[in-house]
Amino acid sequence: MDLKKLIKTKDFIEKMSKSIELIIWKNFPQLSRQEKEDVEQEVKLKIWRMVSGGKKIRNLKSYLWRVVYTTTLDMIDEKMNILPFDSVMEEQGANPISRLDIRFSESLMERKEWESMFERALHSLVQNRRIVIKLYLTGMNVKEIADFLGWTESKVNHLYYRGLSDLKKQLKDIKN
Amino acid sequence: MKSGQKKYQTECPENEVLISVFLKKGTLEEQERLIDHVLACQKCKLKFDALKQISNQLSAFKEEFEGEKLSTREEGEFRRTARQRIRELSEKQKISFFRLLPARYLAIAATALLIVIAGYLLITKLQQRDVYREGERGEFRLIEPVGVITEVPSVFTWTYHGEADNYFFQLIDDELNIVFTKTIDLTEGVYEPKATLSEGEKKKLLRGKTYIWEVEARDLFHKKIISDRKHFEIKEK
Repeated sequence: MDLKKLIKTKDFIEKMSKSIELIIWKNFPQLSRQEKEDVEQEVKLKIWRMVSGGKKIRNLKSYLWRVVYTTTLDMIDEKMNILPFDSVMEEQGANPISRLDIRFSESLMERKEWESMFERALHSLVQNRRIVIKLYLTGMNVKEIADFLGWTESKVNHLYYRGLSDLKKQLKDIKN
Repeated sequence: MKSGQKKYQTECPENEVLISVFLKKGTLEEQERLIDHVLACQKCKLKFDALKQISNQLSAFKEEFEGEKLSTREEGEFRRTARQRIRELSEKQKISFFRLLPARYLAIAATALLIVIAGYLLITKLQQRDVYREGERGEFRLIEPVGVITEVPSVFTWTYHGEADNYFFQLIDDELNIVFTKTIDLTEGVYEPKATLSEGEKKKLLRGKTYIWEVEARDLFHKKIISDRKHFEIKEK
């Protein structure tokens, strides 16, 4: 392997190990000090072990991307297994619909009814608009949605605003 | 809700499915099915968010690796680097583990280690006899150095293995520390099954100490085919 390529790849893996480590720290604040200190080592060992064996590398980029994604999910699975699920999830309670510029009721009964209306309205949208709105509800911004779907930002922006407008219209129709 | 969308309503998708949508391998329908599940499942939402963050980080490296391919030789070198890194990290892990132990535990551990080494050397001695028998049957075995020797060895030799593409050599001291490792790549024009030590490497070997050396015959993808282990002691002057 030419030295430049090797250094670049090694450097990439070390940087991505750091990113995975930070994601674990951020998502599992309940880990003890010792467990947190161990995460760095665990991530690096896991990622390099994965690289040391396995199938023939056909495309370096997709191979590395897959290794990084797999290591991230393996680490999350391991931590989820050792921590009680409730404590992992206690921070995550916000209703995703609150991200949209649509008012909804705070009363529990009305809210349930409203959510069912919202779901019907959402499913009535054309697929491109619907998927953009759904991705927005997961917490993605326009750039992230564009990257995820492999579309341009302007296309995503356009679909988002058209989708939102259709959604409001549908909700109004369902209500009446 | 469409019938296809019911798939992930109760069961979480495999990690591979989550990864494949981030690698843009799925259809729009598959992506939507997964997003529906993610919006309803906090566990998968956490994973999805983590992959999203990683994806943002990866996009900074996109152009650097676009279209890059590795030759078989480059791939081998890359895997070797990985193994070297694993060894470095494992060593570090051992050190940090010992730093955490109180002195009395270290004393117990040192005694246990001595017993292990004694047992290890005994087993090696027994294996040596077996390997010699294997050698007679034409199988893989290490030739020299073995036993008590008077000079620091320069060359380590072993029998040729027909299926090997490379040999992984490592020298370990009697405290089970790796002194050094070498990969002898037969694709690089080396045909003799041997490892030669440089003057610098020879200086690392001390008189009065016992060393274990091990050679793994490996295939093109550095997978072990067979290995053998021997030990020698450099006699004090």
